[in-house]
Amino acid sequence: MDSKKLSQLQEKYNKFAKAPKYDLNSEELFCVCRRIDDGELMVACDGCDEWFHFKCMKLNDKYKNLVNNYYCIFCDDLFNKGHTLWKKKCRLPQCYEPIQINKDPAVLPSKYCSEDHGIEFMKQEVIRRFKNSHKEAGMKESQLVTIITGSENLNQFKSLGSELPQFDKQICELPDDVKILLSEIQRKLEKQESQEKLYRSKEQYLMKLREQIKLFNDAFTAIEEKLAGPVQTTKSKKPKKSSKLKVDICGFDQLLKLNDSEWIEFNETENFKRKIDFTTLEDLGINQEEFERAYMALKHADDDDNENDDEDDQMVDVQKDIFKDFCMKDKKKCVKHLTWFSIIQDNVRLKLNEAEIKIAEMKEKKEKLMKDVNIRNWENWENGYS
Amino acid sequence: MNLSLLDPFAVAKEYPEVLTQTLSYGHSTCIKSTRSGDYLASGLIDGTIIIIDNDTNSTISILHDHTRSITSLCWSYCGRYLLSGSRDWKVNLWDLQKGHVIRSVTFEGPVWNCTLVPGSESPFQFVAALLEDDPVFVDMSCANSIKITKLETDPFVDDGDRKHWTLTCAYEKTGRFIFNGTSKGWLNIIDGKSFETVKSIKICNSNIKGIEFSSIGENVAINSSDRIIRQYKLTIAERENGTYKLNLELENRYQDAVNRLQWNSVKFNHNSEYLCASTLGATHDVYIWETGMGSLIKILEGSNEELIEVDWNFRRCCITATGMDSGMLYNWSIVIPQKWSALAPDFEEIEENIDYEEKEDEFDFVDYDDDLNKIIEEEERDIVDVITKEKTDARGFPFVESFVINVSLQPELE
Repeated sequence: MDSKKLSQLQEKYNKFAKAPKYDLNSEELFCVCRRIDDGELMVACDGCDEWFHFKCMKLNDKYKNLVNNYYCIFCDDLFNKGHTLWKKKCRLPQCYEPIQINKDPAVLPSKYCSEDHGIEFMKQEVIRRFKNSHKEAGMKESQLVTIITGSENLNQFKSLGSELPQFDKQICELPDDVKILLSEIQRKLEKQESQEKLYRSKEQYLMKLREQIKLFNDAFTAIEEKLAGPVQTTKSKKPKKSSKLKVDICGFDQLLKLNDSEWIEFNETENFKRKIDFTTLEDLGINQEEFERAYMALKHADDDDNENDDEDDQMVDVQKDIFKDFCMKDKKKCVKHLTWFSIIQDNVRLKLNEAEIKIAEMKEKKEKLMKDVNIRNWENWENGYS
Repeated sequence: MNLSLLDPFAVAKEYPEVLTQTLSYGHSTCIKSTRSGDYLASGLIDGTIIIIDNDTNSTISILHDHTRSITSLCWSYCGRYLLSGSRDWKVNLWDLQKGHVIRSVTFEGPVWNCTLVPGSESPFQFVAALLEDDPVFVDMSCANSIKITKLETDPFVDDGDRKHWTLTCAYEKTGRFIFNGTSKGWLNIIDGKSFETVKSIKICNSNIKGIEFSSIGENVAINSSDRIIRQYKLTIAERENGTYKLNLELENRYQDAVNRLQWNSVKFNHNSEYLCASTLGATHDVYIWETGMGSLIKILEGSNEELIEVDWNFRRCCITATGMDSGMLYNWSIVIPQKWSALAPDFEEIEENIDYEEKEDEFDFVDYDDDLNKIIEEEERDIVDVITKEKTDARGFPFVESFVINVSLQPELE
């Protein structure tokens, strides 16, 4: 407020403050107009406790129930004691009652003074909107009633119109171009899904393979320990000895080298199924005795450096059968296959990820296409209808 | 500014001189520029391959499929396909028009290096050197049945060397012969059609790390871990009976006698008059020799880490090298002073701002007599040819047709 207005207000206040408090009949005088209480609507200022007429304060009588805190112009503008606060009005235009406020602060306050007014407001609103739009939309009253009463609960009602309903007025053939596109998408989708399936099985196989190698290692270690004789009881020597005997093979599986089509073939074989669900060596179709013999043969072949190939022919055959797909070198010495597990795992995961992204993309595309067709159907139908 | 307008002596320089910029995108382990010099492929340590446009120095394409560091890159002749070998045991062939892998081969171990058959129309055949395995020739023409042929590692003549592996392989220019270098210093020359070893030469007693052919095909530089780069002159003569006579003649040996430096990677320039090599260890430099006499002519300095791969983009007179620690790309090039007066003869170049004082008659309208008008008109009537393409660029290289990578590359869904 500029200074000129302020000084005017100050003058007015001085006048108001100097004015007599009682009239000649000793009756108390109120308001800026200094009149006695004649029953006219007044409001008390929360700043100075003086009473003021609604009319003199240029307030409309109908707001009388909405006052929360009142500050007269002097307290507000001149002394800055506070501003007038109003209660929220009922949403119904002709009602000037304050809204209902629940005692529990967690519950949102109502927008209406009473339930009746809420219903009244909604009635008016629906009628108003219907009148405004029914010419454009070409909707009949009965249709509106059906739609509104058709929804079972609030959420259903709220979601009305957010989704396009499936076209069901007549049976429509898909247009040819859409058909072609759709089949193309479908074909790609199937390709990606088969790709995904393939790599899923590879991942599964890989996980199981790790278990299998662990099983092998344990078995080998057991054999080694048996060969070395009873473990010495001296405490200090024990861990040293056992770590020396521990066998840790590289275990790279040649089957992992199969290409996609070969892998699908391999998936169908008994061997694959056996390797996917096993818990013991027996499940893999390995006889403990044979296993030991094969391991020994392998060890000998290593030790003798292939000098007496012919002698152990039969044994080598057995060995080949059981371990033929595996790299039997010590893990730490096999430079070639170093970290093969994580390399293959990373690759499989990358491919899986790729396939998943593409599948999602394709599905989205398909959905969009179907939606477009739906919209087009509705449009055509409506044009024909009108 | 247009190169051909600049100082011809500066433009025609044969080798770069100063470090002009560094590019950083991931940790680069391997680089290779296209034949046309338009693009640079950079393989990263995480297996990503990025394609950098040499005009704008920006990444125009990012290729994901490898999961371990890239060890080798090779562009096809047309520049549309890129072969990449990686430590994840895979060799991929990328089609940069589609932006994805069109062929992929998985081996049983990391790939040392891989090279496409040069000059061939289809980019589907390559040789690869594998870790602790025999080198292979791969024909991927048919996606469903990829043919892998193992090549011999043992030399043609048996001298008792056992247990050695091929570390590097290369094609000579015509694509007829494969040159393989082994860990015992043997150079095996293998016929590219029958895949039989036709000749073996003992180069040295240590690993052959790299074999580099010059683009005109006559010179070959062999980098071995005995700290010497040997430069040979290769002559191939066809005999009457259809066999070939191969002759390798040692021309130069490059070594740093003082520091005893090992060399990381070697590249020739376009006419094999110069040779550059990055150095192992603490020197952080790229050495450039002149190949005629074998004398050292330039040491490119400026990086503060060891440099691994070098690439010589001679069309832009630029040497790029990868840093070992940061994986940054260092570019050495030449700085040519801008010469704007080349645009117009009466253009005057000034050192600092001056107040220009208009000459008395500068903007006067002059009524020339008719003769002079005629001369001027005739001069203006001379046709300036702006349509015919020039045959060579400012450095004298003929323009080559090369594949242009679509920048708004959206990988087609397959």
